Amino acid sequence: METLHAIGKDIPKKESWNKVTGAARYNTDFNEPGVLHAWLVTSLYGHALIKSIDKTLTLKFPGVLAVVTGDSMPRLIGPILEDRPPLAIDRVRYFGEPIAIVVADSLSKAKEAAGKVYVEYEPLPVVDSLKDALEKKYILHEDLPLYRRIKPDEIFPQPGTNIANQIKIRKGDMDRGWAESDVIIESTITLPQSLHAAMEPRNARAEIKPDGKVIINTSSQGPFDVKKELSYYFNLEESKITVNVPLVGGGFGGKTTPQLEILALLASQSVNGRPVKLIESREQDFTTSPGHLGLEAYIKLGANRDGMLKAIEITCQVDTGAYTDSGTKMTRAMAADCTGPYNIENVHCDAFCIYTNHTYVTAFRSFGRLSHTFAIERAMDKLAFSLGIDSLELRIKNAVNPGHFTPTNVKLNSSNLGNLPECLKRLKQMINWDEGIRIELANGKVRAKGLSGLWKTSSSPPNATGAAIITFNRDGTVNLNVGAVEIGMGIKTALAQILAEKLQMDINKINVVMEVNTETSPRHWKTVASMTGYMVGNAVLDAAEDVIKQLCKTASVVLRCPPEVLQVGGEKVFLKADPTIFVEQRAIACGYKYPDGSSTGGEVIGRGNFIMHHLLPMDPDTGRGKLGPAWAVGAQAVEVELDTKDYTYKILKAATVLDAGKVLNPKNAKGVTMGGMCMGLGYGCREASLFDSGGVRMNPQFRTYHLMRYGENPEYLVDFIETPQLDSPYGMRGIGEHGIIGMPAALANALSAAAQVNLDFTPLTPEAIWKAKRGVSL
Amino acid sequence: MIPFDFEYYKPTSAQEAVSLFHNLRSQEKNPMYYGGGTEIISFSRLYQLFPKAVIDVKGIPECNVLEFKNDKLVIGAAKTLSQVQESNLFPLLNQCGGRVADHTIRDKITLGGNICSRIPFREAILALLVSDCEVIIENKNGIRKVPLESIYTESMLLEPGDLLLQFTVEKNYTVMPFFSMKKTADGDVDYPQDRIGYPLLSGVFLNNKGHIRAAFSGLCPYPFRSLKLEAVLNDTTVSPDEKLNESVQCLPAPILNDMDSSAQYREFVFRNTLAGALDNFEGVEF
Amino acid sequence: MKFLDTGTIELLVNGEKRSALVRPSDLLLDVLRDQLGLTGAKPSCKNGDCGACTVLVDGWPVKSCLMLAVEAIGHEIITIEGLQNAPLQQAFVDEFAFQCGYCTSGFIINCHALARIHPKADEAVIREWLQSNLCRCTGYEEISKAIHSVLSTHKS
Ligand SMILES: Cc1cc2nc3c(=O)[nH]c(=O)nc-3n(C[C@H](O)[C@H](O)[C@H](O)COP(=O)(O)OP(=O)(O)OC[C@H]3O[C@@H](n4cnc5c(N)ncnc54)[C@H](O)[C@@H]3O)c2cc1C
Ligand code: FES
Ligand code: FES
Repeated sequence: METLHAIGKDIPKKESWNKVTGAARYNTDFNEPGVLHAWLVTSLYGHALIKSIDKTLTLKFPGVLAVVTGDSMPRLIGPILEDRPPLAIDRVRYFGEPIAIVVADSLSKAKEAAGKVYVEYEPLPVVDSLKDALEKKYILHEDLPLYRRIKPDEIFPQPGTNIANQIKIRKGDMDRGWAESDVIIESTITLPQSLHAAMEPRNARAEIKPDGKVIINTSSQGPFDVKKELSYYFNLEESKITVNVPLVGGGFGGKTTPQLEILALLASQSVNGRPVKLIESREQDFTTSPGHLGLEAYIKLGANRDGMLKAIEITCQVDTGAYTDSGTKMTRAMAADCTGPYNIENVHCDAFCIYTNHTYVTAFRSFGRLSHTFAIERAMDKLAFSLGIDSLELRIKNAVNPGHFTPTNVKLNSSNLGNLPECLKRLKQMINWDEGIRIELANGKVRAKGLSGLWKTSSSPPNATGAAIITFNRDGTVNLNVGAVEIGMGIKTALAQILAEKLQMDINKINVVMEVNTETSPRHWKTVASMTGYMVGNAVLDAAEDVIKQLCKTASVVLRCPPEVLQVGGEKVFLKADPTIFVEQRAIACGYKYPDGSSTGGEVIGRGNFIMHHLLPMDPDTGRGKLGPAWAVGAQAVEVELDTKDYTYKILKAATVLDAGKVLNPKNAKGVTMGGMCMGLGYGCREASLFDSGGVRMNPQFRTYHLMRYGENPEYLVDFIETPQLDSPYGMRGIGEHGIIGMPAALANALSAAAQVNLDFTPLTPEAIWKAKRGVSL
Repeated sequence: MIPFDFEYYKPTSAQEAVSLFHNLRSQEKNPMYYGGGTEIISFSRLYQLFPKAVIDVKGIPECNVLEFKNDKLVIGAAKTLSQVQESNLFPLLNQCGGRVADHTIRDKITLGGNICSRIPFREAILALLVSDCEVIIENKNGIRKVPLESIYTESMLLEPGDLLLQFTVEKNYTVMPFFSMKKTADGDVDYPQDRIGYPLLSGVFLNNKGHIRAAFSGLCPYPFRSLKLEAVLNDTTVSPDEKLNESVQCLPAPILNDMDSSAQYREFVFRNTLAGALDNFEGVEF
Repeated sequence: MKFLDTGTIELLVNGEKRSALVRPSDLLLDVLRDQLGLTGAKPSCKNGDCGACTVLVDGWPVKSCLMLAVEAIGHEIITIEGLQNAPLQQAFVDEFAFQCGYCTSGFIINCHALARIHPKADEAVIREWLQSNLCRCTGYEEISKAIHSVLSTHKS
């Protein structure tokens, strides 16, 4: 029997043809006569008291059925710290904060009537920066000590300040570290808040059936989280809530914590449970729903003369905006990986999660590492410069290796850690590092390279789960049902590949249920953190084992032999020793029928599950603990051509080498990596949420918030090395987020080399470089 | 989704359009001529415009002309920027019009609409400002033909009901050597366009038998051509450096300072651009 | 021609005559999606910035969020649903030129028009056209490969 390989193959996404014909359905593609429409009334101020909300005119407007305000749900919510009202009550803390929901029988009426809700504001001083926040220009959450802490072991608010959380890492002996350092550099970086900007704006639909059952249709990365939170906030049994998620038009972390689901349900409640659709406009998606954190970080880094890192002190100040949501968790995640992928024995890190009057933030691709890596990698380049050591060599020298300990004191080995030195060496060749990092060309142009290392572990709850159910059709083909959401990363196809390889069958004969329905799909924590392949993939393998056991059991009766001598493959169950003796999978998968008509066996239903193990919360004083099972590593580089006359530049090349453990689908892996790189370059060169001094967002559209466009992308060089992670399906490592992580840092390093000035910020616009060159502060 | 209703009219003659306009206006319907509609639709969606009636000008024959007539290029106001670009009858206009918005949108934006736009950049007007363009306008008193500069200062000085029919440019302007450029906050914009965004600076320079004409958008709060500035550029008695300094002194308004760019950086880009343009015309035969 | 109020109009979409009840201020995008069930064209910015809503009008790409439905009367509209086994669809599948797929209809429609109108388009023309669309998932390289593969077929 020849082995069939589904792993390592360029298998197009299962839903490909639906996506290229317009047939693929996203959550707002379902037309439904009679559905009601909701439109949000949102704050026009960055910080203000709400003196009154006058709904009279709106309620008189033809077609309007209800206007919902904060009093309909007078409680605070939040995944870690309950600090956010679903609809503002008495006060708004960011521009775009939802204040009221207008429900009408058509979208245009809802929208027009929403314009007639009159909100009277009394502006308050605006905390427009981390500086304002730390100087206590205004305390944004006076009741901070009273807020309910959902995860008491990871949130430590500081009453009387704007500090929602502080995470500490204390490792080794700082005095010794500094004493052993011959060179010490200091570096401060500033990165603005930005946006997920998934092409599908966030949206949700809710309905309450007469029997009390709540139906939510949403574009979410976490359908089971939606169910859990709605159950908790609305005091409903989980069995009374069903969450449906079809294909999702991009997430990047922005569709992780419930927001619109709650508002849609409030809207539906206000109209006796009738179905209500709530779709954000692009402007609302950009201002009302959460964005990506901002960061200011200070690093002091010491090394001996040979370039061995000896000590690091890090202060991270995360701009979490008006509410914490996942901001605190990302603060913790940054702290946990705070050294970057370098071995440093003496570590002192304080990471603060700080309130401002900016948009609140939620998970964003890489969960904070993107920002933190920028801080580390700029510092590494500055150190290399001070030491006069090649910056790539410096990174190889200090790369984390098996036997080292992470900042939170987890011992690393060759399974839970990828091979960074190998990634750096491969990168070095790919980008022709040896030709020199700065080359002057004609016409005042300069070509320069910069690089970045990266690493990341996940930060799931210690009991996060994945699960899978496998059923068979009568022709022996297979259905795979999992709770992972298809947000574009090709996860459903990857899981089918894992199953195909395990069952040794043609992947085309595996049907994956594309939608997730919390009533019928087995639970999965949520589709985030590049962890789905690991968690759900392991569950799929477990379910496949279960299937194999059941198939072999029935086949053993049919073939009259013990199950142990049988093997499954090619849609048959056959004798290991003599594959010519077999029974077809289809003949036994739904029960075997003897020639005389009697039957045995029964439906084969595979069940598999996976739960995280050996994860430990971080100690509040030292940070000791274990957030994730493994660290994926990689190295990235960017090559730019800068025009030194006007500081415009082209990004010529961008390179990434990741240790993927095992590449399940090379073309897909490359695509996802390039996508991350492009997003990272966009953040590096132009993306930023801009607020005026009143906290009003100035660029809430693609017209003014620029993403990378076709042809602005560089030439991509992407490669993978494969150091298997032993407890992961086929040794794979989660790399879905990683393409983004080092890109802004590598870009800044390249441009700093090119312009010969320290560029410690993004976005790296030509104007910003020009200013840095002239020594003008931004 | 436009959250309110309006009436839509598509007249087939200019007279009909104008009389519709006045009729609707007397009914307080706040009528607007509708070219490509890109601005009317996007502003209406955000409640920044509230027409109760729109009059689509694309069915008016005069607005759809694009050809040379007796040594004059005639461009109908309803011609889209793409149509102008594809015709290649006026390369300078191709370039500055061809850098507005993006390719797909340019097939909807009309020349008339761009020039009357509320968004202050109106880049297509730059080519017309330097080429002694004449504008043909219909209103309730009939048709008039006026030099563009007589009805344009910071924006088009149109009376309610004034309908732009055509722009005409002498053929010789369409073949003169020129230089044009655009920069956005993200960097250079080549031609054909490869960086989408509002301009930090969009400029055209036309070499009229050795005399340079220039017009700019993005630099000041509105597009402009300045004769004073041109006098400086063409003054052979001053050094290139002095020219740059003096040029900055004769801008018609303070340099724009907005989220895309500070005024200082705009000035820097402006100086670079002038220097480049002067170089560019150095040694060109006339 | 005039439309003063909500009324029925006839549109020629994907070769079929379809009627729809529209307000004069209704956008072509909304009418295609909500009334004709053609949800391939996607709303993303409704501001002309992203191209997810691109359809063909008389063979040219148009952002249907910036066109009134009444403006489309008398014109031939093709949406992604109207393409059947177009070489570009195959090319997008082969090159993995999408991830979430939300931008894909718009990109394919624009590429399709480009391949028809400029079968020998050079790099500058391709860039100029395709910069009208945004994709947040891919790094654009796959899309570039897809369009190039189709253009070279045209050449041979
Ligand atoms: C995605 C996008 C990007 C953009 N980027 C740029 C850019 O980079 N640079 C730039 O300059 N602009 C840019 N714009 C703005 C654009 O210039 C305007 O939307 C456009 O010029 C309006 O043209 P239109 O034909 O669609 O006009 P319409 O929306 O039809 O009308 C605009 C105005 O012109 C009036 N009008 C139209 N035709 C006539 C006529 N014949 N007689 C009298 N009045 C008339 C209308 O009444 C209205 O007041 C962008 C727009 C979009 C959608
Ligand atoms: S939705 Fe039409 S261009 Fe974005
Ligand atoms: S594939 Fe998701 S936006 Fe392009």
